[in-house]
Amino acid sequence: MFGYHGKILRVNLSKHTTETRNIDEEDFRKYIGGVGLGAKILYEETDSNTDPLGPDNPLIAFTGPFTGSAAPSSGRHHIVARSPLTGIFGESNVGGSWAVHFKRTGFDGIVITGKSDSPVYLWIHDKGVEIRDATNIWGQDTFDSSDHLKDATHKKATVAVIGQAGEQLAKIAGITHIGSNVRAAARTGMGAVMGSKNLKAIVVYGTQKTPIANPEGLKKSFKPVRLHLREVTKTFSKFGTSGGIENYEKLGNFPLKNWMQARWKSVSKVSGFTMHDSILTGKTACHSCAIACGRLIKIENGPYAPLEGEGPEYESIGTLGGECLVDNLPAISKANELCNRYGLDTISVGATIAFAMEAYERGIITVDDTDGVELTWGNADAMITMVHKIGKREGIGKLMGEGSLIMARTIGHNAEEFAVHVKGLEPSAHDPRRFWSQGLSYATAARGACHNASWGHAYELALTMPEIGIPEPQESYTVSGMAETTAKLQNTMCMQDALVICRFTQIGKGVDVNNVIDWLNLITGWDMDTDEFLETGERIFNLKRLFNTRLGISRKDDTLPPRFTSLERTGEGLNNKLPPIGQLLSDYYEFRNWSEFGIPNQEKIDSLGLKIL
Amino acid sequence: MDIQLHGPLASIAEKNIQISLSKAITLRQLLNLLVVRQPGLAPYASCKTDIDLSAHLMVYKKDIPLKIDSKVENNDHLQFFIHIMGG
Repeated sequence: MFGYHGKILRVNLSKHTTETRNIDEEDFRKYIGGVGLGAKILYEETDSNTDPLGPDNPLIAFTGPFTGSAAPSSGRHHIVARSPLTGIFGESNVGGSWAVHFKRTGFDGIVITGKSDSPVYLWIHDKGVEIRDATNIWGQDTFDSSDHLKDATHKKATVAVIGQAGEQLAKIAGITHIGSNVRAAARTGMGAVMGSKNLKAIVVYGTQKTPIANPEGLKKSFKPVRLHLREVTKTFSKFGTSGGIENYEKLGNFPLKNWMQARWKSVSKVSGFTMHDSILTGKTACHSCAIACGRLIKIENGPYAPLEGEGPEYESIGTLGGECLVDNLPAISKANELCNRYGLDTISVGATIAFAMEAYERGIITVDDTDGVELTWGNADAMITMVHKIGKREGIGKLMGEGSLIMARTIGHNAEEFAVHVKGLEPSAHDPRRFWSQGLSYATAARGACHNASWGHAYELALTMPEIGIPEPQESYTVSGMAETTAKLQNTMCMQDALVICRFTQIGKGVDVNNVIDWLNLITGWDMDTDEFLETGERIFNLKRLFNTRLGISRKDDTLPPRFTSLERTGEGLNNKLPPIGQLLSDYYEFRNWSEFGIPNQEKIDSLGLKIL
Repeated sequence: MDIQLHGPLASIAEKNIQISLSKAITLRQLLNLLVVRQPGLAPYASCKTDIDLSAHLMVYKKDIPLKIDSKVENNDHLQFFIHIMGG
């Protein structure tokens, strides 16, 4: 077998046992890796009664065939479990160096079940797997824990670690990955799943290479694409993800004031351009990446100094900044760093604080609830105080750590009307009133409001993918073709998350589907064609849907929050329209061969080879 | 034609650029003219296709993004933003 080790590591923390299991090449070809195999195992090993924070919920991390191959921007892995935040399919994709170091230990994936009696961490290396005591670092933040763990294992190791938020089961807790850079598997509460197992960290370092079917052909194929990718992403690399903020505000895509506002005079204060000219000291890249979108910053003066390390990304600035109307970049940077340290999802944290600010403005919560904090729009110190409270689960932070939906239900007064989420997951910083494809994908994505499920905004603006049947960009504010484009993109994004490769390789068509199929075949020795590639993506998407179907998810849940369907924003030059979600959903279900209730038809299930499940 | 540059573009070239056109041209042709006149814009404006353009720039006319083959005329007012698709 090429491209894989053919082995997964299973860890039972209740019994403190480990074992190696083989995976057939047939399963790799059918589900690829990453989210594909992760979803298959999660489906098979859970049922509708599995408690997301119970010992039977497996925490699964999977690499893909591209991992370690030097394919551009493939230093990533995918983590899945039943989500404690949403109660449905949980998943988070993360870059950095963990995936490559883990795969070099001789495994393609890891499945962790059970619950340890006391805090532990895993140390996985060339010679084996150790379950070690973590009592002395339990309660420490992720950065301090990582320092300790690297000292105790290997200085070049990469650490996937939870902070205080995950330890205390905050449902918006993520897993911080610290190696050559800092990256977070932030979404859907995977940090809480790890905390529920008393698992502080997974530390990896290995040196074993994965066999490649045609290494010379692969090297030859990579070279021109890597050069092209570097050229087309030079602007992106220069200004980072947050370089998009000013134009996205112009387009009406940038979230402001809990998604109520469309225009913001302060937008330039928080943009990647301002970061570039003020606090930026350098760039970081995930393993094998030709782009280097990560920011390194240093703040030496002012109330948020000293601060040095990773800077905030577009999504983090959109939520901690735009949604809260905080126009202070150092303050946002501080909140971002705190989220990394506590192990929190910046998107859900920022969105939940914005929701709380609106509840405060409406008088639903008061200073009596906030421990005296004036939770007003634009109050940077209040925003940072709330991050601390969520991370430590103190005062109102305990409730906020449950996410905006649970908070809304708890505080009552019809607050659910302005809790912006889909299926319990707060959206990333892309507005469905500007990009309907994102609205449709928010409504139908397995984990809830996820922009990465389709990346539809890019395909409404300019990108095309004729290789999968998208020869022209999707026209915005148009029902015709919207569902088909969205579904095709969702299937293709599932393949990106299975292989595993970064979304940003799509910028300027740096990497196209033909490149990806070519590399997959050169790595594995397979003869996969475009049809099989697309069917595999569709299989993975439907498998995730079937996981949710088993939990009762249907059309009734495939909705957008009232703010996106009934609040028409105004502003100079704004050109937004409310998405007709009902019509889009019906078209979407028909294209996918799902029932009008959003359930995959048996014929579809059978044709995708999912009958066995 | 009046061209307004936003963000870092305004510090690379003049914030407001006036160009006189005798006839309608495409955005692609306009970008070529601009690069000759303001070489500092070359890293962002040397675009041949819509996909090239989407990796660097977004150009608006009456608040609507233009495509590379969109026609522009002498009396147009255009706004140029650096565009970054990621996030």
